[in-house]
Amino acid sequence: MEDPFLNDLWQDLGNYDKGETFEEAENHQKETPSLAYLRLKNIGEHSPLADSLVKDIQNSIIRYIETIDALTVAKIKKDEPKERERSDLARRLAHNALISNLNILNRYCLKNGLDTGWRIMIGSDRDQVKTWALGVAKEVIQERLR
Amino acid sequence: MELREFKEACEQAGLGELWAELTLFAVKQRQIAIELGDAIQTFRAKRTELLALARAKGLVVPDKLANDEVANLSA
Repeated sequence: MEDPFLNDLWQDLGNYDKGETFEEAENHQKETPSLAYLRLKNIGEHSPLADSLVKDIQNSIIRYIETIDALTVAKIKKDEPKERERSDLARRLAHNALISNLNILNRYCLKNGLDTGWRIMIGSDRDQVKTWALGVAKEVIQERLR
Repeated sequence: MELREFKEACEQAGLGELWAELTLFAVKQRQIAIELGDAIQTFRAKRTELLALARAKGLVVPDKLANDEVANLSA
């Protein structure tokens, strides 16, 4: 999986057919996505509950990426508008679930006096969360293959 | 960035369909990697469950089955 062209293509899939350029998406994410992800993962060591919240986020990233991929395929294959709408709704719901899970872990951190810098690094608007998720997806996928 | 510019250049050069095909294969590779990851995680969870139940029933679990490397059989 060390193909740089493929990596760039994967990161860009969330913007397939959209106005936002890859450069704009990258600018949303000045900090390296991996650093925020690493800090987030460290929180999992705090308790079994924290560990399960981190796993929920990892699973949400995977599910979100799957819906982005499904929507990309629907666009390329020019599926019926209704089908594309359904794919887009699934993507939106997965995006919401990911944001909710990030916020749940953030609240846990606030309550327990743990690092919350990772949440600030990711950013609060939906596009920033999307860019971050696409940036760390490869890492999350590879971790599950080990 | 280069990728988006290159994509546009390809489309303008009449290579849009090939680009779309390439994208579909990029998606397919990621889908397979996710599916393999799911299978590995499920395998590990089931293995843990099996070993725990087997031990609870007093079965002797062979060392090599209890070894973490079993989880990597698929690799």
